[in-house]
Amino acid sequence: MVIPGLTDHGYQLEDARDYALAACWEFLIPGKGMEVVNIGGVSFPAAADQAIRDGLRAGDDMEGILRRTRANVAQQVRQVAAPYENLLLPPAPYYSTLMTDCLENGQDLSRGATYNNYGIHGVGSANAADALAAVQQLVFNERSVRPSDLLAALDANYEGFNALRCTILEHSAKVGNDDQQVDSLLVCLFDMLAESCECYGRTARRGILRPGTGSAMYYIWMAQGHDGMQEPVVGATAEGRQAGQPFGANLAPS
Amino acid sequence: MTKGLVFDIREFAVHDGPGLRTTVFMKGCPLACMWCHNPEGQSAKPEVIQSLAGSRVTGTKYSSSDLAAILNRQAAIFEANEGGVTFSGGEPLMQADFVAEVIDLLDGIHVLLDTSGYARPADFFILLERVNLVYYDLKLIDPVVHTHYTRCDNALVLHNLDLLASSGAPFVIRVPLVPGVTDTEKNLTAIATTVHDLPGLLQVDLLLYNRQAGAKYPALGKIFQPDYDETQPVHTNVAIFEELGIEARTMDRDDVADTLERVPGLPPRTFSEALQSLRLMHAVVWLSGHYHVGLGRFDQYMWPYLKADLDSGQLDETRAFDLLAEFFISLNKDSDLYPGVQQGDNGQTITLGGVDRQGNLAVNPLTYMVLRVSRDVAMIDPKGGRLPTVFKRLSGHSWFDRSRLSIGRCA
Repeated sequence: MVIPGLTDHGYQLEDARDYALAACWEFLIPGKGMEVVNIGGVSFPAAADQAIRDGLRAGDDMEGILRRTRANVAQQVRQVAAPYENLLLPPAPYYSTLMTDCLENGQDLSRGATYNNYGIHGVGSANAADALAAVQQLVFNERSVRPSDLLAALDANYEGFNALRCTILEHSAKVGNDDQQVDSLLVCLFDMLAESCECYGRTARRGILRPGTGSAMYYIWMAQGHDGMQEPVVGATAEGRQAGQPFGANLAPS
Repeated sequence: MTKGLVFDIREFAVHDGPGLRTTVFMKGCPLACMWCHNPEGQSAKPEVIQSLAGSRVTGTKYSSSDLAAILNRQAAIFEANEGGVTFSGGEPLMQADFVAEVIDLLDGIHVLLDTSGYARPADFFILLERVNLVYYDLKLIDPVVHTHYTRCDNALVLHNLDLLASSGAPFVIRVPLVPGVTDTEKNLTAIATTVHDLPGLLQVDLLLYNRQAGAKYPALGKIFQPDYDETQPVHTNVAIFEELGIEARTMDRDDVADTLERVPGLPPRTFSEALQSLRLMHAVVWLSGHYHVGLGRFDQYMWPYLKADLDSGQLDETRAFDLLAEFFISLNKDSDLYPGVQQGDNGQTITLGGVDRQGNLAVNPLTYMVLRVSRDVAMIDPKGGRLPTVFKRLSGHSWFDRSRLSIGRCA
């Protein structure tokens, strides 16, 4: 999975086989990568939440909501990447001596190596998939929840909507239970991220954007806010989560 | 409740008694040894240290319950690593009541008392009945010379030594080898004669002179003035003790000195040198501003060194495990630098197994050793995982098969 994934993203097979983990779980090629493996995260819950709220108000169907989600993900990817178009790295003479590339090319690491990609994390995927699944199931398929009620409940952080919240928590499908429908929404979210990264094209450092599935600390930051962060913070979300509750970490269920 | 004055608490100490220990340095000492390398331990009051790094106060007051709570949090680590707590100083007997209170609050932790023996016998008794092991300093037997070099007479030290011996408690005699002062044949013979028939004596440790003894004096506004020649070689005369049937060892680390003489400036020749080299280079990457520095394919680049040592018989498997464990422990030391929400997450990941650049299976014996040591050392800081996170790298060939990417243990 990893090695083919790396070759698909432009890594030579021999290099891909030699991958090591960056300090968390992102992949690096030792001696050959000047990669910034975590430039930021895309908040799937924010992308889905905005799409659900806008879509329900506009009378969209499920397709429409997914289209909006896709657009929101792409928008977030552009936002995360934009500041890195002007990235200026300080020279790193000592680090450079540990890099095969730098020694062979006589070039400082800050000027780049064979691989110069950026990594973007897709955060809160299970929460977002569950939120979309709740809308799909309860609003569109079963029609047991009216769009206006869901919107009102979200705006009220489910205060006074306890029955609705219980229905969502207990009756709508959740990622991680071998439910094809909701799991495919999860896949769909990651496809949106991968697509958005691909559409972004080359960065100023001649690299690509690598989509990732880790959430680092963003599963808390994007749920609760954090000093100086650019990424959108959400309130209550349609999978029954109230404002401030953290998202599931990485690929963990919501 | 008594308060105690402490000038340092050092975790992961491996030279202050058996196993892995936390050493509590009590501030204040009745002696003023000319060779003292912890001058901030002498005064029983907080002091200001002025150094290049700015100024700070040394000497922190603890209540016995606060200090005991800190130490109790590490109980599982001590137990897993056959260690405990060492009270050192300064002179812990100067604050015997406080130390006793702390010990009484500990959850069955092994306690070692590291003392100069210069204290009121009553204070010595208070701690003697509470500790598991005593490290007892004997510096000089001649009272006149003792007074010259420590500003105190040694009658009390010798008297307490008799008390120690008659108590039946196990103890180790520690002799600081000061060139031309304590390492003379006359003095060492006198020490050997004094201790050789004492019940409870486990062994004699000869501590090599610390040539950096004077390093901290300027920061305290003190002057380091040895009247002996620091640069002359130290006599490590173990035979004097062995002739009297005493087990004695020199607590020098020639191996460490030799290793540091070599690496990282020159390529490592052994597994031990390779580990030391990696540790230093890794630390320097960190210090040069690149935080979150992984360790890469550790089992790949380290295995050739280990294999050569095992093949030549220079290293046996037990010692190799020890070296690996020491390396893991050192990674846990002074590395809590990550500013994120996951405290202790310092990015020290190791990538194991997988395939080589040609696609051949790259799992080797070191792969399994790393997993085993990681499990055995079980270094989980209660304040947040500081253990080097071990990731198993996938391989299409072995027991990793199809598990793809699984996380061994995550900070």
